[in-house]
Amino acid sequence: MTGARMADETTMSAADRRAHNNGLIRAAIYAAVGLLAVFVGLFRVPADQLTAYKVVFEESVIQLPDLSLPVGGTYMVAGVVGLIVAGLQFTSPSSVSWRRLMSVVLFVLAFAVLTGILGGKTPSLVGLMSATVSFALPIVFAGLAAILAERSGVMNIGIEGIILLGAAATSIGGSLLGNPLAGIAIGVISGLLLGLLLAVLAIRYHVDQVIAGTVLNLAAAGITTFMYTRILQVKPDLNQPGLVGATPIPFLSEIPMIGPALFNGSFYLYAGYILIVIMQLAIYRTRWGLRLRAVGENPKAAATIGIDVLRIRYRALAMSGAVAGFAGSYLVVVSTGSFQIGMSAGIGFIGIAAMIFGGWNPVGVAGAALVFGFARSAESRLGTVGVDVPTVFLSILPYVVTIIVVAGLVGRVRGPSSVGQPYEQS
Amino acid sequence: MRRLPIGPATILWTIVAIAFAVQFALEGAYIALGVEILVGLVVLVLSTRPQGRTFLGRLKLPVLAIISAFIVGGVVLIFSDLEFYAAFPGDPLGTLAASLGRVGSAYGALIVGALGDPGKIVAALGSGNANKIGIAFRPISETLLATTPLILAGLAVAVAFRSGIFNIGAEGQLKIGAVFAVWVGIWVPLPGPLHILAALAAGVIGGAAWGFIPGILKAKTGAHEVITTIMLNAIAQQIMLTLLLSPILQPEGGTTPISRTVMDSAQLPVLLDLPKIRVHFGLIIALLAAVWTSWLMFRTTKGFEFRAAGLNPRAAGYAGMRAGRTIVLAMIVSGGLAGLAGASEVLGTTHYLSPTISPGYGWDAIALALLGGTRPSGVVIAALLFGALRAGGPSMALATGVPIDLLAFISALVIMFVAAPRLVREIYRVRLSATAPSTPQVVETPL
Repeated sequence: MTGARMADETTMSAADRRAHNNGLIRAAIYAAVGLLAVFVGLFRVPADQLTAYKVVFEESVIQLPDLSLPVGGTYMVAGVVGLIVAGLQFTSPSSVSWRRLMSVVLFVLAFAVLTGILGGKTPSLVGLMSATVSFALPIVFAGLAAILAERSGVMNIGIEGIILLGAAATSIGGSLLGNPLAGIAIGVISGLLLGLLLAVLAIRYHVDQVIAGTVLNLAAAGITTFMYTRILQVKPDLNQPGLVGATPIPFLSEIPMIGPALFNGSFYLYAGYILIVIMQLAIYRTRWGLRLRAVGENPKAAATIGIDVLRIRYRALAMSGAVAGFAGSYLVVVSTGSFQIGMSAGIGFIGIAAMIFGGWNPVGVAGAALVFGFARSAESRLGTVGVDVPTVFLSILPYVVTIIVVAGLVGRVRGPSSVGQPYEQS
Repeated sequence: MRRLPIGPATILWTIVAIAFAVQFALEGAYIALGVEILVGLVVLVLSTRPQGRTFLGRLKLPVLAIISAFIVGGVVLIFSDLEFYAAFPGDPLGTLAASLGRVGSAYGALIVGALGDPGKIVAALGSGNANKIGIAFRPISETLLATTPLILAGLAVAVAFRSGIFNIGAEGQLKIGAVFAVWVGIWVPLPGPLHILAALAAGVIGGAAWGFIPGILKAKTGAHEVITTIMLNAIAQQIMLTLLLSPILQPEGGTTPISRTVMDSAQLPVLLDLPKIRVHFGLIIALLAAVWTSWLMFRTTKGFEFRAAGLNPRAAGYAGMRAGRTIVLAMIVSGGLAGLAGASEVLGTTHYLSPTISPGYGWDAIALALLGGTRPSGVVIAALLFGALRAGGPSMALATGVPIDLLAFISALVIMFVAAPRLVREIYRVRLSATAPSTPQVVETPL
């Protein structure tokens, strides 16, 4: 049934009507932005301006010429895509796949604007993509950690702190044991323990979940900085866990444009793929997943049919913490090679944003993380090619998108119903 | 099993306290000794008091929470000492004693750094030398200086908590308030007191606007304020950094993210014109704000509506109060108070804006609101304590080499203990009244 037909029915509920209206508003916004992009492409850009993207690295086996895109044309294509999406959205305003459509519009527009800003330069598209994936990866892990907690009905604001402590534990553990892999294990285990701590505070001691998470963030920032100054600065050899190198997949990693980004990474990248698939299947296709969702939606009903609500929540938070600790270890053994003060840099919060934008769904989180990762890598690229534009709009994009989505200003997402409420087992 | 009358933690605390007392007496650190005896007496009295709505009954949980946080902090201090591990196998008892001694000197330095040395104060007052008096009173001045923004930010969070709203965005509201205030301070030429008032008002407006956003979103769309305020904190930080690197705030030819200095006419005057004394009129403003908040919350119809919405929004709705309006108003008041904290910092303390304008005041504010039982008077007392921590920290770091971030960890632990009455009850085997500061009874709207 299309939304247009639904609108005629008098039985439509208030929520449906709101979703319908939101869809129409979205369609109007896309159409307006699309028209604007076409207009800019036609009249505001010098006709002969080109942006030449490098699509392969210099050391790649397959060499391809630069991809020269006319700036005006790119704007026009983006505008047309925007108009098409607007049309799709208009024909079915209440469509549940609105997030996908919104991502498409955001992405093509961001790309067009980027092409326009870089007009006359030769930026590396393949580098941009690689950077996108490596920025997105920790966001994916943080987002998956957030999903695990929230699906069980516990809000995990403390992911940021677990990432930070996981990073510190990875660095110290890896240095002590002389092996980055051992360090990763330590990081994951410490994340797991912190997840359990959060669970004990929230479930056993009824600390408000928001406060428990905030405490974890503050304590993590305090204790890691304290340890860094007191121990790691005095004994720098405790902060050298070593790096985990890249393991390219033969042939696939040589595909121009996407190969280096998607198939030439550390094992974290492949672990990320596997984790996304496993979690998607586990949450929607297994008994455990059904129970998890039941506990998150309506713990009382779940308990009535014999599900141990608290045990599910403890386990989910332990797993959530472990995944967050894994994200922290990534920052150390892939990105920098050592622990730095405040190195989580808001990834935990962007992970929560990705969870919401991705609709509490692992594949959705991956998509959201790519959009946010793209914004971040575009931001850092713009600095390196010497373009002087305020990149603040890119850096606040994840946060603004999240506010818009949470507020349901342009679409509707709904998380598990029981998030935030303690459950008293009788 | 029969329950012990006192918990294991209380016994441990008593032993440690006696050990510290001996050490302080040997070192001649008499203020530290005095403070410790005072704290000990308070705990002793508290543990014998029956629960209830009395003043002491209300103190029980916060005091025990603070003590527990410092004990855990001390344990961390001992086990983060690499020399401890080296010396321990040879002489376990001696090493442990020495480590406890170091914890004692660190906390002792903290107290002296926050309150000053009475001997010096008396000597300085006797000499009548302005310079000496300034130096002697400097620790107290620094404590009150740090207390100022803490009172305002703590009030902001407390008002929101009382109204059933989790405003964890005080940090962002404070920064936006600081940006607004510093802009008026730099660019709007006005005569003396008028300029100060205008800049303070700008800070309030900035913070209120930043509080209005989550308020209106929650009221109109049910967007969870925790998520929106987290995101708005990050956005505020980015906006502030961008403006600090743009000609709007940055001096010509500047390269660092530090703003121009506000005009002299916009600077809050210092309370006492003595050398080294920095505490300014912001403290008076903060105390007036506490009185105003107390009046608003407990003496006006609006305040009654705020509190009713915090206790039971549905009942408030049935009683004919408009929930949406209450939420928005409470967030405007809350954001405005946080913005005032930012304004007082840039106009009184620093006179310019830099990224370090708030070393986590917005986060400490959560601890203050909980410690103070979301009462303005409680917030002021708790802010004094946290202000002392902030002011004493550098002295502790300087005297004993203990990184100041230990205090950030301890503050986080204070929040944890005060938010977990059940935990404190189990550790100390004390009865805690149900009137202990509780988090608001928000009927959580799903995200």
